[in-house]
Amino acid sequence: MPQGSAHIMFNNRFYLVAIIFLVFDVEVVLLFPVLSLLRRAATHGQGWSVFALAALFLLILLAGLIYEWKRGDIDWFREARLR
Amino acid sequence: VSLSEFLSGLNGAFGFHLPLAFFAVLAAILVILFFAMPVAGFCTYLERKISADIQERIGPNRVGPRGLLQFLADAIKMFLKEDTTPRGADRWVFNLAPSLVTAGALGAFAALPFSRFTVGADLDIGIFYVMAVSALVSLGILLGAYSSENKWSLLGGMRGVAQIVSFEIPLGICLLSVVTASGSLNMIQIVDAQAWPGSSGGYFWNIVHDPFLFINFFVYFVAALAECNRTPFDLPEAESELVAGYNTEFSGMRFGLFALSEFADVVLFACVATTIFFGGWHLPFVNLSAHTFQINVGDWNLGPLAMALLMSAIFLAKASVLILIVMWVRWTLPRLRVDQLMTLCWKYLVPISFFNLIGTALWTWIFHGRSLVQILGSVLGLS
Repeated sequence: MPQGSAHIMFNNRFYLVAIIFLVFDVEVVLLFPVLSLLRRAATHGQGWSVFALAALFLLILLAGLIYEWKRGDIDWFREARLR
Repeated sequence: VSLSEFLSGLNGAFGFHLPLAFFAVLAAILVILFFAMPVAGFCTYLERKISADIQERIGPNRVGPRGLLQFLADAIKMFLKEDTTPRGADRWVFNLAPSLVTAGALGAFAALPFSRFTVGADLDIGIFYVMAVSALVSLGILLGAYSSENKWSLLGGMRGVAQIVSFEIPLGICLLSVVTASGSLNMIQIVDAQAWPGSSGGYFWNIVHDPFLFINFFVYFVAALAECNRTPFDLPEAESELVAGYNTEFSGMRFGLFALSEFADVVLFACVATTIFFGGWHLPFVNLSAHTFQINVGDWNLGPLAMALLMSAIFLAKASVLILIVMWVRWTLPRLRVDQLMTLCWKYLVPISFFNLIGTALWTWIFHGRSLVQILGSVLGLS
């Protein structure tokens, strides 16, 4: 027999993962139109402008990843960092 | 020419005209009914047979020759089972969830280019559409898990969504790196960019386009396994801890839809991998898109039909090799823990795919969009 409500409290790591996903997914989606232009631009010798734009965007995204990594937001267990 | 446009060519043949939307829906139904459903059903048979072989059993062998019709018997059994709803369930959401999962898995089949002539919908943003529609699966899983009023379901659903959502990032970045190399989002143009180098401007398969894309294929493969909830990553339905995960409370055809869409997801992943990494219908040393057949039967030219069949056969042969590898992996690797799963995704796959995306972009810029095969060809003086 089921005991009590099934809608139990859940670990808030799930919430953090969803938030991190949201940021990354939106940025990946925004890169699609830029990078799909790169090949055509490169064959006309204009590749540097598109590449610089995409690289700047990617570096900001990478900085975000490193920040989350250092903060421990992407570790499933974080007991050492709890203060 | 897409399937819907081909079908709309029949307009007026029967004395009345129908709008293009009708033929678009008809094409989608044809693709789902005569391709996605039977293939996904056949995959259940294939998996049981392969697992039997690996474990030295016989497997299904009663229904039809060598048990080939087993999946039809399973489908009939599921249709006839009682369709139960738990007492505390959120009825409306509970009924909606299996349809959402199935829609997410089958909807993406519309944009797959099986051949140049048989693609359900020739979309300019094909690869983007596949990514967007298959994201519906996670929504269906969460709704089904939440509404079935069961702790196992809820825990399985939470895990499932966390996993699918996390691995969508490396998956998306891998798709992005392919788009960078081929310079298009259209599935047919992505395939045709991978033709054997010649007059038509192809550069051979993306997997050998440059070293970065070669690594990104393996990242894509691992991420896709996780997206399909396949075995090294089958935590959402880990039967030793969660009974059956998010589909514990589903019975009859609703459970059947969950199981079917899981296999449809595997087929979808194999077809997308074939399209973006293994050159779709293209073979080495010959450019099929540049050839046309002329086979006249009465007033009809059957050449394009023969070509479509040949291309589809090549495409499906490549895809089925990938499906077989996925099934082989299931009986080879043990299941991961949740923390290992998250570490694998965020600390390994995301940085590796990021690096490879930047690498592919650099390669495309520096070599003006030419691939390894083309550069080797010109160095060796072949072309």
